[in-house]
Amino acid sequence: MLRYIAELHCLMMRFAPQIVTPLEVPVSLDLSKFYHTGKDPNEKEFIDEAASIQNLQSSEKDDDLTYTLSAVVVHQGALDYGHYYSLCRSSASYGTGWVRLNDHIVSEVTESSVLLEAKGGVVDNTVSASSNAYILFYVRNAK
Amino acid sequence: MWIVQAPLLILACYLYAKRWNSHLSQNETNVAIQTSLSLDTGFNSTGSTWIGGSDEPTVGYWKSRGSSVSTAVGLVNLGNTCYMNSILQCLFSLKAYRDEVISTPFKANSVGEELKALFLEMQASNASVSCSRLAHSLGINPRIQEDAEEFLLQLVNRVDDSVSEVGTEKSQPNGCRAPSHNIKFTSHQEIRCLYVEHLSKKRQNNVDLSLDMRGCTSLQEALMNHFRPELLSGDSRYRTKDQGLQDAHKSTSLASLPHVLCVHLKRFAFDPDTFEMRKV
Repeated sequence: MLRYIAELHCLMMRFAPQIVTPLEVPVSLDLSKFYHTGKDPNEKEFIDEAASIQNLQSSEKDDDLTYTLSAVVVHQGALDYGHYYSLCRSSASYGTGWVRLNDHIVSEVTESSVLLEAKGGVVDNTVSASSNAYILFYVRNAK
Repeated sequence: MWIVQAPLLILACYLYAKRWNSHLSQNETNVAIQTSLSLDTGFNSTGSTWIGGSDEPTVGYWKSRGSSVSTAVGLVNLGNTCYMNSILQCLFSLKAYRDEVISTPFKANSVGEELKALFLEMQASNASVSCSRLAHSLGINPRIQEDAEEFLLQLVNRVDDSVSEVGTEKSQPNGCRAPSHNIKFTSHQEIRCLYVEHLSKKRQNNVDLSLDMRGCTSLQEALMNHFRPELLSGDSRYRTKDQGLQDAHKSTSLASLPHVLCVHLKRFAFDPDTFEMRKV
């Protein structure tokens, strides 16, 4: 009997719309806490591809360690079905500066709307309950 | 037995139906709000040009004022390729990556060459563009939906592989760098044993930073969790070469910072209620 209910529960849960937990996505991100140059004498042991990448970015110590949100991939729906669309900062300095690209449909959006869509979950009834940010692109601020 | 089961079954169905209904009605209002929003933004705000249908935008692109280059272009869905379109549109909008792809020489008929052609077409386009040739060169079946993050990794790596004469970076200081050099970063992992003298270091090149989202309410919290030192003890003790299993501290940090950081939010986790993967 219990097993019967459990199976039914599983079946219904699979098709029931899911609510995701909202996640605050900041416009500005500081990575200085997690960044260690790790310059100690033993470091020479690790000369590999990694080192060549680091050489290319050798000037980074003088740079800013803060990032600005620049593009978001939003996922709507559940695991095995769903839809992706993107929110990108348009490189122009007019308007709201953000566009929503949903396949062939391009429309202008405000930054507050971008953050709301990225946060996801049940927010103000404007964002669908099962949609939230999946991939975030942060661009490093110029010094 | 059935006399007991039947009312319970009906009750269960009723409860689920109620749950469904509340969601559906909410979704309907969402759709209504969304359409009214997109109608409101039938824009021609401050000199920028929006070209597309006035009531139902079906074809669109975005041009900056006084420029002939499109900065945001719609991509045609080839069936189930929204995961591909969204990643391509994001990468296109990232100037650092777009310019790098356009200026890099690629092998003929390679994935990189196709991406370059697509980006050039998008820049010059006044309408939606199709990415079918790129999909073909990647061997993608457009009818099957895939994971956007896996596609991102695959694309970035395949594009890097198709740079003509990879590995000649040192002999050619100005050219032939992998286009992903401003996306990829190095993470550094350190495992230090508590009771014996042992230190293990590992460096890894990554395209994106994958963060576990469970129990987090903000991105900063997820980052803190990711980089928090972890104690390996009990079942998860660290296996050393000479001294067997040992308690150890594991810590991760970033050894280099990229110009563009891709953060992947791990949304799909195992749900013990349904014994299935689900979104969190």
